[in-house]
Formats: sequence, C-alpha cells, structure tokens
Amino acid sequence: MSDKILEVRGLYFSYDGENVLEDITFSLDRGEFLGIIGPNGSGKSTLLKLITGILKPDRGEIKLYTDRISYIPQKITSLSYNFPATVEEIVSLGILSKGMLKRISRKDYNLIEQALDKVGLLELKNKRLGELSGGQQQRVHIARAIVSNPELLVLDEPTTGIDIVNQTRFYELLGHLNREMGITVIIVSHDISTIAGEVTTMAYLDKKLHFIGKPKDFFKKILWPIELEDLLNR
Amino acid sequence: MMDILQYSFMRYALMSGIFVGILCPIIGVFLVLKNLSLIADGMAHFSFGGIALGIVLGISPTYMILLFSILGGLLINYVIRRTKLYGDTVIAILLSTGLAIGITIISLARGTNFNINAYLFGSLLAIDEKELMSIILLGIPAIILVIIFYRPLLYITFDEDSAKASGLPVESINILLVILSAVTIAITIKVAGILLTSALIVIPVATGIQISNSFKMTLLSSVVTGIISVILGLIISYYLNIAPGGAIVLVSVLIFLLSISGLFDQKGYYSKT
Repeated sequence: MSDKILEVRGLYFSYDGENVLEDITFSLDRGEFLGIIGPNGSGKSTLLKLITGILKPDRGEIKLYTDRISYIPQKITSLSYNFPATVEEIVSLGILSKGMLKRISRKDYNLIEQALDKVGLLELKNKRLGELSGGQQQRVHIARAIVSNPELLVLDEPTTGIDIVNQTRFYELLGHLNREMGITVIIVSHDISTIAGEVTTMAYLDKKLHFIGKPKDFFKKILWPIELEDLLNR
Repeated sequence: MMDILQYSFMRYALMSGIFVGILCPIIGVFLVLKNLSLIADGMAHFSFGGIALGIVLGISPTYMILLFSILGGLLINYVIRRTKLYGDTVIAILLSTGLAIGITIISLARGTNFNINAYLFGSLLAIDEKELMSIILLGIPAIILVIIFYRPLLYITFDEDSAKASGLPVESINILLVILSAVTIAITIKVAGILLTSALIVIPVATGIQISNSFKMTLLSSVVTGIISVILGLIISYYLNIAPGGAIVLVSVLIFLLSISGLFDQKGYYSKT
C-alpha cells in the first residue's frame, strides 16, 4: 500500500478571470522526487503556491498529509542580496515552523549547525547573506528549509542564475536529502536535463497536467515534440 | 549638559526623546527592510485628518492620531494586496487624502484655536509629566511585543511566502506590525511632528543597515544612532535656540552621511571567522 503525502483533485485557479490551472489531478507518495517542467506562464509557480497554502484554489481540493512543509520561492537570492542578516540568522528562521513563538534553544542551535554542515556552509555561518555567491545562498535556503526536519520540500526554479557546476552540486544535494533523509521533494524547473537525473517522477504542466509518470516514460512518449524541443533549447 | 537638566521641561523632553529614539528604529527596521519606508510617512500624514477632526469634535488628538494611523496603515496594507498598484502609489494617495481631509476640516472650523504648528513640527519641549507617562504607557507594550514577535517579524520581513508555507499567520503578523507602527507614529508626532516622524523611523535604520552585517547588529546600531541623534539634537537645539525636531533629524542625517562615507566601513568586521 502506498503512503500518500499529497493528493490534488480537480484543481482550478485563475488570475483576473483567466484560468492559469485547469483540472489538475494527481497524487504523490512519500519519498518521491517530483520534477515539474513546462513553458513560462504554464502555471508551475502557481501550482506550488497552491500546494504550500500560499494561494487558495478557486475549485478542487488539495490534501496534504503532513504539516511539515518547507518552501523556497523563486528569485529568493535576488531578494537576499541587501538583506542585513547572517547566514545563521536566516537558517534559524526555519525553526519557527515548529511554533511561531518558539525560543531558539541550545538544541535548536545544534540543529542549525547540523543543517549548515549538511549543505557545507558551517564555516560561513557568521557571514552576511549578501556576501555569498548565488549557489551558496541557495544552499543557505536549503539549510533553512531542512532545519525543521520537513517531510515535504518545495522549490521553485532554485538554480536560476547559478552556474552549471553549482547547479549540478545543488541537485546532487537535493537527491541526497531525498534518498538519505527521506524528504519528499517537489521542484519546478525549466531545465529538463539537470533534473532528469535525480527525479523519480516527472510532470509536464501547461495549464493542464499533460503528463505525470516515470522519467523514462516521459522521454519515451515525447508527446509534445515542439514544446519539448523548445524547452531543451532554453 | 548639566545646566540643561535643571529645567523640568528639558528633562521630560530628553526622556521622551530617548524613548522615541529607541522605539522608532525597532519598528522602523522591519518597515525599511519590507520596502515600506514611506508607509510611516503616509500614516503620519493621514493622521493629520484625524487631528483636525479630533479638535473639532473635542476628542484628544493623541487618540485620533492613533486611530487614524492604524486605519491608514491597514488601508494601505489592504489596498496594496487587493489592487495592481505599487506600494508607493497607494501611500501617495492615502497621504494626500489625509492632508486634504485635515485642511478641509480646518478651513470649515475657522476661528477654532488650533495650534497647527505643534502637530506639523512637533512640540517636544511642551511635553509634561502626564504626556511622558502616556508615551511610556503606549510605548512599553509596543517594545515588549516586538521582543516577543521578533523572529516571526523577521521572517515575514525576509520572505512572506516562505513564512506562510511554514505555517506562520502572515496576515496577522502584518496587522500587528501596522498597529505597532501606528503606536510609534502617535508617540513620535509629539516629538518630531507629522513632517519629520518618518525621518526618525527610517534614517537611524538606514545607518544601521549600512554599518552592520547581521540583523541583531542592525537593530542595535539603529537604536544607538536613534538615541545619539535625540540627545545631541536636543543639546544643540538648546544652545542654538532652534527647533529640537529639526536639530534631531539633522543630527541623524549627519550620522547617516558619516556611515556612507566609508569611515566606519566594517566590511569584514563581523565576518572575521
């Protein structure tokens, strides 16, 4: 029997009367690594915001079988650039998902250090966030996300503006979190080639969910050659 | 310095000034980092309508400032979220609305004995014991609330979406921030007036951001800057016989200019590990 973490049924969402998502239905088991691809404006980011509860659906339902969710939004690194906070201060925010007014205990500081160690940034914990490179900043957000021991990690185009070497390292880190820590991962990307190696499930979204299944089936049944070619060329 | 303190009005001015010097940056740091530096200005100007209304209706202007700046802040917050407009557009509209309401009411109530200057430019030297107490009674709970909600406030300031996904009640925390800002504005208008209130909320924070590497240091250095500005400004205003509000803000601007001059450049200071 499979152990579901997420069920989405008949989901609709619109901006200004125009449907962005239509009749989305799928479910996800615990421990999966779901990669969602699709062209710009296909509703990928919107779907993530609905799953994480940031937006409310117009119609349909989303059932989450966990409340331990961490979300890393798109373009978070551009927002971090001038923010006067240290790496450690940002990671400590992740502890708040255990309770808004939770005081940070000695034990929590150990968790923060462990999370920073896991992403390889422990020695930079007192640096101002903006002093780090884009790839390092992205790993700070991973540390912030995993410090509360989440069951579901949701990431929106996390490697935009990061060089290819660091992108590969980043996806390896996600693969490690998925396999070794059992965290279910949902990631949106337009870069099909980088995520294909790590994901266990692949989805193609363009307003509707055109495909969801194993990556090998995805490549076998190239259902929309024009879009795919378009995607690969980006 | 000592001969200044022989006058009770100077002692009250100094005490309320220092209090404001602490309170303003504590709230301001969240507003500035949320790109809402102008919201305090908008709320303060909007409360001008409340002051005029209060005087005509015989209600204490302090309560009206509090009411109107809470109302103004919530309106700005609501309209930004519900429309396609940028924050500064919404603030500009609300700011002018409040001023227009105030001017209209005053012109209708010609003949009322209304010292408009005290509200526009502040009346720090007119603060008595009773007013000092009301400043402290309003301000202390605000400071305690910031201490309690320090991390949630930091989280929604850094990124609302991430905070919301981890289960934080982002809308409620935003409303709390608006109310805390309104309280701060109601208190600060007495010291610096409507026109310069946002200066005390924004400028020390700008200095703090410039010279610090961590959020804690930003908060601390903003507060220190705020206190120094108030004390120095007050002393200068006493000896040069100039308006204290203006002197205080000019000192804070001077400290800000020093901070961007590179003299206190601490790059690497906090980060030496």
